[in-house]
Amino acid sequence: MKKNIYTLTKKEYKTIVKRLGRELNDFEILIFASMTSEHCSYKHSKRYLKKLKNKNVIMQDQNAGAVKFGNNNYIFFKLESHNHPSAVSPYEGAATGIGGIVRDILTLNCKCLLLGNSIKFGNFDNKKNENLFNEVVRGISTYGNSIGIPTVCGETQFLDCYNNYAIVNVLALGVVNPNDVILSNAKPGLKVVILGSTTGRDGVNGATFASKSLNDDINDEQKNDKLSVQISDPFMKRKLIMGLKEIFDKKLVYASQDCGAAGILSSTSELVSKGHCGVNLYLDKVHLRQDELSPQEIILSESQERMVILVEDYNINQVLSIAKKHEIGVSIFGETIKDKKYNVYFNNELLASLPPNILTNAFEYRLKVKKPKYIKILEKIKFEHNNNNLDLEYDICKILSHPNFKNKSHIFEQFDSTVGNKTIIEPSMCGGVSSIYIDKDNILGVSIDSNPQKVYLSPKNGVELSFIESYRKLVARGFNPVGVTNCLNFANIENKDISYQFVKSVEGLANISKKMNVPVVSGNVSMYNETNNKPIFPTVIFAMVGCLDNYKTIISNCFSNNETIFLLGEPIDDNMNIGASFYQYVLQDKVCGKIDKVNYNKEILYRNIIFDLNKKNIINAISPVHTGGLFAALFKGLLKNKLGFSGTLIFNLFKNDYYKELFGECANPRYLISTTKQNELKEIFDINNIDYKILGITNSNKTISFNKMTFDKTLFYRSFIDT
Amino acid sequence: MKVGIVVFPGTNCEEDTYRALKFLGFNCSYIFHNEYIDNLFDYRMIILAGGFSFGDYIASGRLAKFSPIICKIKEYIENKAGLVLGICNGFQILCEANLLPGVLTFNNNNKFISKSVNLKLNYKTWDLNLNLPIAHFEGNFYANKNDFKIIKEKKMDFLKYNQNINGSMDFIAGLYDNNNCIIGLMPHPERAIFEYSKSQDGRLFFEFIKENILLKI
Repeated sequence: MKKNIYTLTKKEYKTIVKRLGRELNDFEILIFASMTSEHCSYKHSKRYLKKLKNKNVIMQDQNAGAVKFGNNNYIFFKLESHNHPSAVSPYEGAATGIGGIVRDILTLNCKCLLLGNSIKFGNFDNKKNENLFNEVVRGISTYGNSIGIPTVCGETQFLDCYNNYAIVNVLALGVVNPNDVILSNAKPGLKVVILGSTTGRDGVNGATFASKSLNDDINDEQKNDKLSVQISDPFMKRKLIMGLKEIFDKKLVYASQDCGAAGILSSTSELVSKGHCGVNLYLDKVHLRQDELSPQEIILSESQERMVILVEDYNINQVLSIAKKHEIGVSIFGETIKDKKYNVYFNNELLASLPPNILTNAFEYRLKVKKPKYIKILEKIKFEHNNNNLDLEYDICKILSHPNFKNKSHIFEQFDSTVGNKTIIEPSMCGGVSSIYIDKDNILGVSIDSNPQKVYLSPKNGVELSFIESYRKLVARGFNPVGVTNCLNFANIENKDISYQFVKSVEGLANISKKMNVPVVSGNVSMYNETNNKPIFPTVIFAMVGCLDNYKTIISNCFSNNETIFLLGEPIDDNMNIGASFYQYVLQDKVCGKIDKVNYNKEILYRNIIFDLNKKNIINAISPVHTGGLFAALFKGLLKNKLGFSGTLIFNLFKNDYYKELFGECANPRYLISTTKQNELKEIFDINNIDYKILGITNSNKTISFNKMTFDKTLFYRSFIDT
Repeated sequence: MKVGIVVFPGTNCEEDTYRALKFLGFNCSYIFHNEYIDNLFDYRMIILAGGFSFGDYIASGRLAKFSPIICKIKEYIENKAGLVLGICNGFQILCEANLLPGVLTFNNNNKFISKSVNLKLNYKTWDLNLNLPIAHFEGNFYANKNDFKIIKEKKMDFLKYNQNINGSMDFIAGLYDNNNCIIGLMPHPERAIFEYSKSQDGRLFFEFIKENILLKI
């Protein structure tokens, strides 16, 4: 058990002793080590995350936050990371990641409507990365498909900084009637019930393990780490979903909390701490997978598929009989009390007696922030293409066939996207927004996005740009963005460069969320993501949700034959910065340059124009410009119907660096709009003094041609689609 | 028309099926697998919905066949009380319980497959082209020589994939045992009903069921 103490420093120990006014016993030290681990306590990030508070968010202090959706619904959603377990044991790590996030939503009495994921790996030239990738996908597929919730959205990237490691972030979203929400606030006089799987030895110390950097030189430690990963049981989860629904529907539960990181310990201490009361726990009463578990193991086990619910005495029998019907294990192992004490008993022996408020809120640190050297260096590097000797056709194929850009159907076809019978937009080759039917007046759109290179280069502006890309994707399909959740994956936070990345990222997020009026509903922070002391790029994942009142007004994302393509926005010119654009990385393996600030007013103006044009039925399809720039957006628009195109893409830079104009990603909003009513559209843009260009016309020819250059379109489609 | 939807622990398409059939005008109710029931004769159709009954541990459908409800279904079939329809996991259960010939095993790419597929439904005068979603890991149909002969003789192979998506023998996506009134299929017609869905061909499928079978029983 010595291993446990590694997250509790001497200084921290002393502070706790001072606050308590007494020394701690061994069992209590163990409890504090887990509860004050970064994973449970957010001690380094808490202070900064306060900036994200927003009064439009409902229940921000619960397991997930919500936004109001239509008149009768709350939508709860949250992203969560499961990086450390997935790096050590990819299949179980990914599977239990989904298990965990689903419980967060379930515990609020939500009907879970959709799942999503963002997964990142190193390149496949290393066999280990390929294995990590296959196993993570298999884990998500096996678990997600079994529990009857569709996986509708996701993103996958391969970058060297994730070598030998895996970023696994999973999203769950649920809907509930506001009157039916079940909170995680206790009150005295309730029975503490644990429902679901047996408690075993798996996942003991998972929280402390997730609060350090992994190092694959030390074999002993790795073996130990494997034991810290939980084992998934999707069948038990399905039974738990069905059983809990019945228990919740009959209103038998006063409060509920899922058993995630630090198991029974964190779930029960959070319940009583939020309810300003205390609890007596009898660990010997918990139903176990094997005999001979020590009380330490019982309280810290992260065995999956368990929930803690607080039940009034008179409802206990009904809860027990429903559990029996659904074949779910159940035990009553404590009661809540008035006295603000967290008392733990084992075979009548009192092992710990602590005040819950110290337990759940022990430390809060301030980080040292200074602009890192590497950013100053990279900002100054100019990225240029010499226009001589360019093989544009070859370079386009290289971009389209890059694993981070190309067709991902081999991944998403392993995830059941139609179970639930409410899927409107399924994942597709074009990527972008997925959509779910809530009721006839409420259609939900969701998109997952991230841009690690941009955040690495410029944490604040990069985060704002990633955020706004999600925003634009939703707008392009006609959805009005209403809320966002995030997962902040960083390396060792005690390193100054990393803490700069973190603090600036949060600053950017807080700023843009306010400016765009899209509140941050919930979030998750994962630190110490590195192997062999190499930090990952700051990986900030966004999942944004938008709403629409009629699914018939969803805007298409594929152009049709014989349509005129407009660019809403300005073409790139010499003065715009395009730092960390995708093509720079693909063609020259470089991340450099500067990133401009997002123009908030313009974003809102364009959104309003698009919604207005959609109402007037003037536009047929929209393709937002993001990764891969103008050319990629055009390509994605043409993709589904495999069209040809003829027109102009280069307006400003044909003499010098025209790659910048073709593939560059700037901060200004740009959308490609297809229409058959070009005169009307032109008139509206002209009258309102809006920047636009007419790019050309789609056709059924065999070629894509622009600025007097002609390319065989089948070559491009093959590069993108073939696996 | 009364329809019973069987729910095992691990079934996850019961609500989808309920909503879809209700929309089509059927009167649905759930039957929990170990619930005490005299018999199922009140129902015109019994549906074994999709999912992962008993976690599909060991093999899909293998544990569900031991459930008390399977005896009641056998009795239902013997009495020719109505149609038994197994969708996805339901099809796997029917095969495991020997109520339909053959077995369903892992897809030949050894991966879960979730996508829309084109199918041909061919039965007597009915000839339909359908586009329906599939979502399964074990949908690769195989029958031994003897079973395959029976399938061909009785013309049970009424539903076939246009492209062999999972390695199924003879492109078989579904079987219809006309004598005993049992249908099993891997695709999900219940997920192609609503106007907002990608396809509405599930409506055609249930029309086929209604006009060709239920009205004749």
